Amino acid sequence: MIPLDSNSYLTGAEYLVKALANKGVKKIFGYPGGAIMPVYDALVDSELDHILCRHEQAASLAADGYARVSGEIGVCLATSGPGATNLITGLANAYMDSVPVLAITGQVATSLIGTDAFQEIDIFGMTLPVVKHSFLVQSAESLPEILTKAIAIAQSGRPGPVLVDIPKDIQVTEFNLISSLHSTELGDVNESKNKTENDAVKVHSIDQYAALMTQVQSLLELSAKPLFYLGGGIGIAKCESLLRQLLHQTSIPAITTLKGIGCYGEYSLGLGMLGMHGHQAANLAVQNCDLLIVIGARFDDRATGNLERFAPNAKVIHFDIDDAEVDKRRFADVSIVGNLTDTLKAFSELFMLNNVNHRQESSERPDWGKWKEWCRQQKKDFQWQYNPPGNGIYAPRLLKYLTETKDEQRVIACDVGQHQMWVAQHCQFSAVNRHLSSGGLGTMGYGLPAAIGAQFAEPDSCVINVCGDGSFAMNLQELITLVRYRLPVKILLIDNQSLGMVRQWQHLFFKDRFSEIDLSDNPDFVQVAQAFGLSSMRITHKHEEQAGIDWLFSEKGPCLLQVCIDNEQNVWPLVPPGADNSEMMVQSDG
Amino acid sequence: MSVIKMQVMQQPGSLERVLRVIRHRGFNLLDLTVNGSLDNQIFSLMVMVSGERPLSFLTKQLKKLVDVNDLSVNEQAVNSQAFNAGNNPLNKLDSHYANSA
Ligand SMILES: Cc1ncc(C[n+]2csc(CCOP(=O)(O)OP(=O)(O)O)c2C)c(N)n1
Repeated sequence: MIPLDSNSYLTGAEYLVKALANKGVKKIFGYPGGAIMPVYDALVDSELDHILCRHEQAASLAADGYARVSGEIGVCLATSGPGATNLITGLANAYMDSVPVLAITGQVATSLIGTDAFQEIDIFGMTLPVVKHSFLVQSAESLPEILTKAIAIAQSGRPGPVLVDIPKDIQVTEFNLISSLHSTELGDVNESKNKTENDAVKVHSIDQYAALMTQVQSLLELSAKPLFYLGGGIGIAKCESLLRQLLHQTSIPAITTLKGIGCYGEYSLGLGMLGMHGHQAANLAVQNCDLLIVIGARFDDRATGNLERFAPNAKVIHFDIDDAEVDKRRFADVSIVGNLTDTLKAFSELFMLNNVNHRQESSERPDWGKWKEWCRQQKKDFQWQYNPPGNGIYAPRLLKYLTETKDEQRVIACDVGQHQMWVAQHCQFSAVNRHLSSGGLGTMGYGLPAAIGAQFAEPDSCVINVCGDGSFAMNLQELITLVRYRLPVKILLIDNQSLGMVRQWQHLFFKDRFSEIDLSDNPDFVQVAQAFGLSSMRITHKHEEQAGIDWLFSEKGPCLLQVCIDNEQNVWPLVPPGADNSEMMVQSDG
Repeated sequence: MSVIKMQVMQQPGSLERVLRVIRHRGFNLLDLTVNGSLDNQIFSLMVMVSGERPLSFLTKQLKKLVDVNDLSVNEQAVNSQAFNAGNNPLNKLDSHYANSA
């Protein structure tokens, strides 16, 4: 670590790169340009690894992928104007999925701000809706405090992206650290957390948990059909083991959201994902339960279907760090607001105590046995079927093969569309941060940059990008990044020569009036990959499925497997718009 | 109609953030009073808003803004808009969410 000597004079840019390194940042994803040149100059002497992506959107999405896998903050860097605007999709993606990302942008010199200077854009204003917080730096002396705060805000509470916009003159201004240092500087982020966390935001205190747990207890006592509804918050709070302990203790059936996938590992009463393309057993369980114990989830409309008729007979217990999610879409009978690590601990203790009491007093609680049996039966009755007629490749079966070999270190980053839902349905994940999916924003083009970020976070892991032919083209330039950094990312391209998810909707809900979904004039992707320096291969027949997967795993460097499928394969089940989760359309085609 | 008072850090954009949240979360801004001073780093802000959603839908989002502190609601005004949404706080507004691909 380069010591940050408090006596020395540094330019804003020099300070920035040193301070980032001191705060534990190792990788920065970015792209240079005029207004950020002093920072790029400082990077020459820095120990920070800068990764040159080929589009700022990819840099911001890579920072997101890096953050999700590493559990640390992801950092991206861009110049003013177009560089900054290109970051926005990645920031919005991180905002919707609560990912800690720090975006640093160059800005035109302070004196030029507001004059419509070359490459001046009000990126602070443009990003207000998609950041947790943002700063326009007004003096070099304020940089230490701003940087400390920015990193703390991005990671604390419910995480999210933070933007720091730095005018070029401030990047080159020399300043004396000693006179600008606050007591918190030189990086104790934790210390500053208390100051940056907004006091007004409701978080229950440990003492309050006790009272709330009494209410939780009475709801549990009354419930004959309890169900856990598990969301992405569990992964963000890094409390999977606590959750698994709780599942083990309670043996209450569980379902997950898209972002909760992987949280319960191999739980026998785990019924899979709920929602629009959820597992039938999960959707039926949620519609039939009488108590929903929601942990780190927000009743997203893709998960609930028709909200009026969602879980119609259920009382709700809601655990979340963000009070604004409580009662937002669904009224909670009891809400416990706080860090899941603390609140789940309290819940687990309550349950243990409660159980002991029950044994002593001869149980008053309704028997959950019947309900659990019913859930098990649904899981069995609605097992996925993998044998449609025909000789073509069946994408769900291929994706099932993909994760059949156990590998705790495997990461799958998907794009958006049918293939994304097939991954959610048919791949197995040992933890939440093994499955990278753009849940809130649904960003086509997310997968490849996210895979790049993931591979940098875990150089030894097997990182796979599952994409569609539409999504693949959205950040295709990042193949250059794979080769440049020799990243052994494996691309599994599910090629249906169309924008499959849109095609499916046009088929089902727009009377087969297909509009702009045909991609049959795609280039030869095997050749495209080879031109970029990847090894590549194409499969088209059912009997090649396993061999294709084997090939993918045997390749040492970046590679692409093009999987040609019939363009009429649809994702089932599907809860149509306006319907409730029990009204699932199921497979009628091959 | 409700009146919300808050203390806001004098930072570039802090007022913009508050106003944006009010618009985006579906409330109308009826009145706005800003009291600040040059030497003080905090200004007090009073907004009068109306909307069909429960007021807490807005205040909880405002409280999350890093620059906003000490948020309070004029009680009288709130009573007329008491939280009474049954199972679904968004009630009729849900069709707004339902039909997008
Ligand atoms: C950036 C962006 N633009 C448009 C969409 C809308 N959209 C959602 S899925 C989809 C089709 C995706 O096609 P492809 O990547 O080939 O995947 P498939 O559905 O065929 O598996 C589109 C256009 C989106 N989610 N993101």
